[in-house]
Amino acid sequence: MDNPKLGDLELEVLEHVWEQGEVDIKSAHQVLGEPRGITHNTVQSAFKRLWEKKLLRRRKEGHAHLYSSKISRQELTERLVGELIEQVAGPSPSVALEAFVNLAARAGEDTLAELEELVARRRQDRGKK
Amino acid sequence: MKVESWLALTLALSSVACLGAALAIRLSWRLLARFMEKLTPRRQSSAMLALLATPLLCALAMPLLAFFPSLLDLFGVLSDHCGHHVHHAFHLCFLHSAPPPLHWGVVVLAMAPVILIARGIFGEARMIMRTRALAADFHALSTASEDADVRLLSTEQPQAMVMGWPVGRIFVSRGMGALLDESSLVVVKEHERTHIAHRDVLRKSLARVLGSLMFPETRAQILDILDIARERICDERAAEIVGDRLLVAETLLRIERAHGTTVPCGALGVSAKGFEVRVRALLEDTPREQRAHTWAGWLAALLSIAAFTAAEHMHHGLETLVLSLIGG
Repeated sequence: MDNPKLGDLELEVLEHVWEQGEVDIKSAHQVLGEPRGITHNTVQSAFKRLWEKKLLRRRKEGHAHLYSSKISRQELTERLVGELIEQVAGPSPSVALEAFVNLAARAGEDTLAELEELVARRRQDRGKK
Repeated sequence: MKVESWLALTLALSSVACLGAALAIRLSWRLLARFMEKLTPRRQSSAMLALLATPLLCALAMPLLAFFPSLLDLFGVLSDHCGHHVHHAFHLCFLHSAPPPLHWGVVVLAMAPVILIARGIFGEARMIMRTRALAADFHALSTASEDADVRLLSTEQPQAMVMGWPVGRIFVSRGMGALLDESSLVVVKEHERTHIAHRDVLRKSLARVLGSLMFPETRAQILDILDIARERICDERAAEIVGDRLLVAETLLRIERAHGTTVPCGALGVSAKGFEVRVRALLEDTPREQRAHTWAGWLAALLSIAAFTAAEHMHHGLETLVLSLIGG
């Protein structure tokens, strides 16, 4: 699944759904839209986009849709962090991506072991003193 | 047409100065790098920023030197000396002379650094926007932690970074919390706090833009040294706060064992750069601060005096050069 790019309102809607569990658009509009002067339609569009991005699931009750979350906060965070790692470790990062990404040179096992030993020895020496 | 011609010629002269400075740094890089190794991280960082700024400063200084007599005349210090050598076919004097005919080669040369710096600014602006967008997403998804300035990311991957622009915010993942004990976590947070206190995100942006006038290989090497120097400064500060250099080294080793952190260029991660250099430096004593800018101040003063003294010779030399190029 592609990593979703989320707008501010979409993130707020997700936050609201995570808090409430299952919500309808009317109640979400009262909490998220009315205090900021956002119309019912705008809130409805945000819900619809999140549903299209497969981040929300919905079921019909009467005339209204009830939305619930399909992804937890942790899963979404991991997906975003994963996006960073994918950019770094991707097979052929584009030039633009190379400029964006700060690839840390990983130390080899030998270097790590040598440094760990040095630090441990220093710690031991200090303990003796 | 007069103004455009003078402007093109001025920019072309700046371009030559900029290229000359970049080339001089490129050719003397090995020597410079060996000298830089002996400096403390703080001095290294300042020296790298100064090196990155050199081509731009030379480009700005060149018109001042080239039009030195005209500028003196303009400010009423000394009257321009065009009249003393009327036999010259051309004078670098925007007060009394006509500009040389505008050659397309001059225009291309004049535009080169402008295009390079514009490209650098555009690239940096793009990166800032992407970093800010990611930081906003991370902020929205993160939760408050017991420290007011640290946001908690709910991911099992060990991550700790300063992300955002121009100052950035500190993000630490639950994975990092699970990997490290309390004292090591303090090291990580203090390291990141130092990045914020020193405005390192902004400093890196400035360095990248200035670096767009350097040769790519030299630029990458300078930025690398700058990054490591900034990380070392944060390591040193964290060591000072927790009072244990070995603890900082152990923390870095533990993070590296867990495959380190991965951060975008706009962000600053605790183990992002120069891991081995940093751990080895922490095993040594606290670097003794070299006597502040004494030598740098003297060098700057000497260079300014030399430039001022040579300004007139430079002016005539440039006149001869321009004259031979335009074939007057």
